[in-house]
Amino acid sequence: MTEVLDIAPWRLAAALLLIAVVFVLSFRERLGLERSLLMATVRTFLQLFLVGYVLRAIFALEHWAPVLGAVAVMVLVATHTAVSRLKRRVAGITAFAAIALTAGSGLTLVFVTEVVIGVRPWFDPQYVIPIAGMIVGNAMNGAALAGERFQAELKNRVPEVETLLALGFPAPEALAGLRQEAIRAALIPRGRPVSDRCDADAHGGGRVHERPLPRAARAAVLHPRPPTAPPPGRGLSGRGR
Amino acid sequence: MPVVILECRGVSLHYQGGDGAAGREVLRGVSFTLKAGERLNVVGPSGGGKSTLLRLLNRFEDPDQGKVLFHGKDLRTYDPLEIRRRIALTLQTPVMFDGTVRDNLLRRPRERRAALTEADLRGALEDVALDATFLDRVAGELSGGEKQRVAIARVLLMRPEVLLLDEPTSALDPVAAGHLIETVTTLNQEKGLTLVVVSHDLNVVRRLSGRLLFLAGGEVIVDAETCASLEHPTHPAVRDFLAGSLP
Ligand SMILES: Nc1ncnc2c1ncn2[C@@H]1O[C@H](COP(=O)(O)OP(=O)(O)OP(=O)(O)O)[C@@H](O)[C@H]1O
Ligand SMILES: [Mg+2]
Repeated sequence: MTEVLDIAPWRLAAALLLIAVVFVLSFRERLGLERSLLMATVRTFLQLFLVGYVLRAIFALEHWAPVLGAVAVMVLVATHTAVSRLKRRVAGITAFAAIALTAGSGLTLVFVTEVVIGVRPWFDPQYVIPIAGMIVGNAMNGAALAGERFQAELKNRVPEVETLLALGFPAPEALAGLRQEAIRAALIPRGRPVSDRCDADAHGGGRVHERPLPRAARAAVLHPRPPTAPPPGRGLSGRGR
Repeated sequence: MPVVILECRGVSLHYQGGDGAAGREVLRGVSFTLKAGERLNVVGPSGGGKSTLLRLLNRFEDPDQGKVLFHGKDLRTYDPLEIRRRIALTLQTPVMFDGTVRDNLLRRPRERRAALTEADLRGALEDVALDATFLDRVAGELSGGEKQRVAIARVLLMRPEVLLLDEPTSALDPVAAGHLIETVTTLNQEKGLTLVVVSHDLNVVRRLSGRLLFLAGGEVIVDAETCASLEHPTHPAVRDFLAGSLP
């Protein structure tokens, strides 16, 4: 194994400079983000501090059980977060999401650590834990986006779904179009165009800003084109006509 | 002696409120019978439970109490997919899918789509008084009345025994509404299709004639022959409704 870099505390503190840049920007452009930036920084700081201690303990044990335990905790937290982002409670959805996230991120994790990287020993926390963090985090986002989009589509497309049911389609087929939209929403790559984010915002999906932005700023972020032109992209209004 | 095709026995239903709270009762102790080949008007004030009653008859909803019988057997003992084929429902606002009228008429589970011939499609359009040139029109560009007819033709292709129409004329002018009612009455008289029609429009109700079920506050207030009940309304709720409907 190659050597790990030791990062001096003053270098870590320098990371705060990056936040300071955003802070100044927010202040000068009156974005009103200072408060939430401050909160987020403090929260991140505390979280990383705590996680650091826990991880140090796990690393020291050099045993597979605590590593798998950490991954299990990640999946549980991810399940809870994904489910709590749904607008409507559905019976049995937590168990369903837990199974999906465990199977989906579990298989991916095994594939990446074993086949792609070849981690030795197989549970080496230095690799397994950060990679699991990325995979589980992405899976959580995907699950939450899919769930949110499915429920939003269902709400908007009741007449269409009921018409299909009335024509004798079994429920899974009557919902196929919605499922497709949900999967699409979950799979859109992160660096997606603004128009898609507007689409997600219209469904209450995209939580880009913690606090409402001032009107002008919001318009500029959401509609970089002149506000008279309707935002491009596939709106729902044209559906089922 | 016509057979009873559908029967409601003491049916009550309430919708789930927000977050699972028990909602208000929407139907209360509703009982009536429908004979094969009958025409039934369902009339009453807004929110009285008319649409809910139709949804109960094709199993979009199930009753909390009481039961619905179809050919003497509890509706819940049938496969819902079979029920929705034999008891067809059209919604108040017809939904047209992308594509032509032909695409819309063919929009159904694969095995049933395969069984449909061009002649079936023409026949279904003819049943709703549209000529065959409509097959290649873009469905989304039709007028409200034409869409309503295509929606009815679409469910007629399932060869249902009962046709449930939820306010089929609410988007139509009086002339188009009259034509549509004439069309479905013909289907009833010539093919023996049993009809249940929800309507606000008294002209439509009179034109369909047949029987009348007056629903208010989730209860059946009047169940009688249509013309007689409108000429001599005995119940104050019906009189209020008639007075409010006068132009
Ligand atoms: N999905 C639902 N969830 C909760 N309540 C509902 C739902 N659908 C209908 N209701 C309520 O049930 C009652 C009866 O509704 P319904 O649609 O059956 O009335 P209606 O007689 O068809 O009225 P209208 O003439 O306005 O169409 C109404 O008070 C309505 O608010
Ligand atoms: Mg209604």
